[in-house]
Amino acid sequence: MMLTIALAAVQTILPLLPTIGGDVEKVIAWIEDVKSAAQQTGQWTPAIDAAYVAALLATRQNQDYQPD
Amino acid sequence: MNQDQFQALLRTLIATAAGSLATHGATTAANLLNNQTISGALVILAVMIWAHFAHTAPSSTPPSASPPTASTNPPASSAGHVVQQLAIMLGFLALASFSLLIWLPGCAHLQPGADPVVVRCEQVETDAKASFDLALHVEAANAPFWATNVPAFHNFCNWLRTPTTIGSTNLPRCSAMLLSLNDLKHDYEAGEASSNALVLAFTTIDGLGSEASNWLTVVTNTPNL
Repeated sequence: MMLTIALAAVQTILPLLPTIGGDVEKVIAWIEDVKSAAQQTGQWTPAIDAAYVAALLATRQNQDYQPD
Repeated sequence: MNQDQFQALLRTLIATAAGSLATHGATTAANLLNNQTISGALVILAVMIWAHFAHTAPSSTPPSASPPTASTNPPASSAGHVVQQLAIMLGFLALASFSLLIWLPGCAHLQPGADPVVVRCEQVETDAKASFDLALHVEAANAPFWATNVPAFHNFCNWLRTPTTIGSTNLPRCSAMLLSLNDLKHDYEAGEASSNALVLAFTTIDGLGSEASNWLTVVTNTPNL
């Protein structure tokens, strides 16, 4: 049973790495963001809110966000 | 050397290797090694290997003088056995890492005075943006491939990218939706919007973020791609 679960987990994670073209940092950034959201205990400060809005506005220049 | 000393030695070696990589210009690799998540995972893996081999080390006592008995199990190949054990340990490592990194911190308590609706909204904003970032990056890294082999994923990403006007600003649709949600959150904090409206909005965005995550699971687990 445990071996089946372990193999399923490995099969889920390992294929992700080559698919994203070697940018493991992106996966780690996603994990860190999910972790920080889960650990959030209070409302954002105005500085954090402003940084979030700035990050949203910056997606205008992000190549990943440009349609075909 | 006990296990604590082994862990300390390993962390020192990782820090030294990261410094050496940074010195030689490999800043990306150095940043990866300096990342607490990566170094922690390496230490966990090494300690598991350490524990495994310490547990299975042959006894120093001499073999029994009794005559050998016939065994129904053939002797295991040592190399194959080690590879099998490593595969099992890697699986456990993956499960343990994801549990520790993601699920256990979810038990955090709110600070006194924090509005749980606002905090939940901000958690959704963070999660959704992270999922959009990763999904759009994965798709953009090989867009023609996805357009041919998984057109629904390609179309979904282009739908997220569609330029949308919010106020006087033109933004990709997913960013515009998150900005609109953030504005609604401020309206709620100012008493100009109901909690029902905010919950409805962030539940919708949460569903969209989950869809992006689901697509990542699908496109990375579809055979023959």
